[in-house]
Amino acid sequence: MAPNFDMQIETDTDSAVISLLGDLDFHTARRLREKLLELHSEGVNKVVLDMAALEFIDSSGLSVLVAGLKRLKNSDGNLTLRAVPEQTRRVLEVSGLSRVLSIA
Amino acid sequence: MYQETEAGERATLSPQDLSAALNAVSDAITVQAPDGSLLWANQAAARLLGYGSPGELVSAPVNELTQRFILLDEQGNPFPLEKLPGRLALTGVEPPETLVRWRPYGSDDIHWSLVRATPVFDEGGAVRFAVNVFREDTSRQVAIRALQRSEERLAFLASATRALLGAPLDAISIAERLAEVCVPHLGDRCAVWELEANGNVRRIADRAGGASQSSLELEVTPECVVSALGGASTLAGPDERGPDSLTLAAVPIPGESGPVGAILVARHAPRPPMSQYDLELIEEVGKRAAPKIENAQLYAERARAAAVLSRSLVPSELQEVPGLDLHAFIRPAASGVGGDFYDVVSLSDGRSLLVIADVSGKGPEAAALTAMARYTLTTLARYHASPAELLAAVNETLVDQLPDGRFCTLACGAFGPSPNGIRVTVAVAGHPKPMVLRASGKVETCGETGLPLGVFYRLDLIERDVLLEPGDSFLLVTDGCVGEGGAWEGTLHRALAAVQPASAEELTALVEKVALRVQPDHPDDIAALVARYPGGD
Repeated sequence: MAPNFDMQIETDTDSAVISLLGDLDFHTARRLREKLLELHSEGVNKVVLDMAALEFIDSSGLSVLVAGLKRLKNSDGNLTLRAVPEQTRRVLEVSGLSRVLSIA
Repeated sequence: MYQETEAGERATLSPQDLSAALNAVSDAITVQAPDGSLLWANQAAARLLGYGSPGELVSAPVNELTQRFILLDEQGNPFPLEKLPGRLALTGVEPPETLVRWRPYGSDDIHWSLVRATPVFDEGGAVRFAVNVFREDTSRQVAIRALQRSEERLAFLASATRALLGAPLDAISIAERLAEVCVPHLGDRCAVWELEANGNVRRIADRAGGASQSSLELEVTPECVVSALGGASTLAGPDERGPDSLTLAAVPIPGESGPVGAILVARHAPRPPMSQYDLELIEEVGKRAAPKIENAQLYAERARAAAVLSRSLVPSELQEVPGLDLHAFIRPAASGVGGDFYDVVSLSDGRSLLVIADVSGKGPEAAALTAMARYTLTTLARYHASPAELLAAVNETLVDQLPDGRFCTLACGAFGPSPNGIRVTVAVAGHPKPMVLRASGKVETCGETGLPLGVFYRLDLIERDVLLEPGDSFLLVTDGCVGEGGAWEGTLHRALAAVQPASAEELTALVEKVALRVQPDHPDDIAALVARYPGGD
């Protein structure tokens, strides 16, 4: 089955906006993880994840958010989530991660 | 009927000339007397029937001739002598041209002849003799049959491929499809053996069908199957021509690194014995089945490993807690092993702590981290009296140990006595909140959600107490039971509210049923740990 996931990325010198589409799960989380690592190595330390078109997130997806958050905080940056759909917002609340992620 | 024997003849041809002319014809011609003996034959007939000259052929006794050849019809069945065109012609009829397959006794050299026989009558209308003309048809018939066989072969293999494509991913279903493909097309009985990676051999399909009842005894693996499991095909029999005569074909199912099974096909009399051609066909079927069987074995192996690993993540027996009826279940994700675990551990003050947790991610790596989290928790529990303090200590270890963003969500409750029942001190680290099912049927959630374990050094969980009264139950579940973000928590609450449970086991069964109903292919682990407080003494 083809993973139902895609990303659109706009970058500036030290910031980037990644729009997530579809399902961020066990099968697709790796792609966001690698993209975040790549941006970080290029000196981007402020990342905004636009979640308006995100349909599903599971614990593998949350892991990538946590890893990204830790890395960016360690380099005085930040990870911000925006346009978080209701279902994803509930997942973040149940997992306690809404307390540490900046949700715009 | 009267034949004009002089018709068309010119006076210039002598009998010798006629003989010479007939000897020049490439078709074999014989002239047969009413008693069946030969009166005359041409050169081609002597050649065809294996005699040095027409004279030798004509002087050979009749029974020698019939014993020299085995006659078969188009289907390969014995040709009844009385139906031979020559014999029919001697009775006065003019039979149609007949295709006869024959071979000299003791030889595999098969010939095909188109035989035409014509009676010649005397003036009184009695048969004087029959003229047989044998037209050699071997090369044409061989070509036609080769073409038919290759068409049959392609059609058969295509049907085998179709049958195998649709088979589920387990060796037994695949083997049963295989047997269905082979019976009755290739034989009257087909059995399939599987050779597992650990060397175990087991018969996983056995199908009988076709015209004859198979008397084959398969309790012990036959020698030819043992050879096939070692990689060698064999075609055996028929030992004797009798009612029990059978041929056996045994072929390997060849995997990437050696056979993964074997196919045995038996064909009984009266069907003609199987040939090398049939054996090759069964080998082809084996090759087509091989990747399917191999995948099924890998899949079964993985499922076994996952089950063993998952079992190692939870206690084989729950520690007993006085006054509580405890029950738990875990069902690893359909896709393999996941990261759920539960346990009952003792805190330093003697209280029992019921824990359920979920390490993010799936697969063996998640399972290894899950084991680490569980043992860290069990070990540290004896040094802490408060759930929040214990989890803070576990968190510090996990932050250092969990790689790249992985985390562990956990919910727990410490059970201590209270004047009115049992006081449960609850801590929740990024996990679905514990539920309390009251004796009245009311469902509550309890606890205060904090960060998962393993994310940041600071945890700062807030403890909340809940009081259990007689008839109340306390339920810990993982998100496989309530959905990501509690998507179907309401469904579970409604199901719980509708029962009056007599035991904790009844509640875990209900949780499992609801989870499987919402997600029949359960892509996530599901686990639950339930404590029911019956009350009284």
